[in-house]
Amino acid sequence: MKGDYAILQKVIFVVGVIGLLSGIVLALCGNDAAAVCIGFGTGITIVALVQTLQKFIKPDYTKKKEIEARDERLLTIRDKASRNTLIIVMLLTALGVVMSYALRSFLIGDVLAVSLGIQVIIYYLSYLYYRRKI
Amino acid sequence: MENQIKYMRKQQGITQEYLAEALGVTRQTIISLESGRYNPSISLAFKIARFFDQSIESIFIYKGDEEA
Repeated sequence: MKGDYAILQKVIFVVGVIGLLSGIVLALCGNDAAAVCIGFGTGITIVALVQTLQKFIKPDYTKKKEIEARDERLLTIRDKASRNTLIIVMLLTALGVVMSYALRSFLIGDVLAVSLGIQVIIYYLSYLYYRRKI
Repeated sequence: MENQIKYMRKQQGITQEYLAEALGVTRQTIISLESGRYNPSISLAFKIARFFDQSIESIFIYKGDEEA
């Protein structure tokens, strides 16, 4: 949809700033997680700023990105890539469950089995949702 | 599915870039459409037909069940 890319840019910037500020607060409190938050926040903020700068360097940058965001061929590619990713992740998780139990790492096996169960439930709920919607 | 997009575009003397901009898609999508690697949605097919002022059937030739 029109404006999606601009909204996404703003969301990325806000997430980055929140991460950075959280990191600074944690650092002031002497928390060990500060470095992770500062790193994450700085990285995301820089990405958002670079994207914003691109708008000034290349005037048609935003327009190009907007077209790419709603281009139906790219949407189809994204859908297919997501579907393949889901299938591969589920297969790898199932393999992980089998390997963990075979190597007697029951805790890891249980965690992976629960994770696989959650993936299947989410998939089924999404399937039901789209079956009603489409 | 075969199509006449490349032929019609060349007949009207317009570039892929121009057509892409007019249809609100990327130039890569036009390239894929012209080479037959990608079949458009019904909505994009209508846009293409309207752009060339033709019917959908005269631009897209359906040849049976195919993978999109």
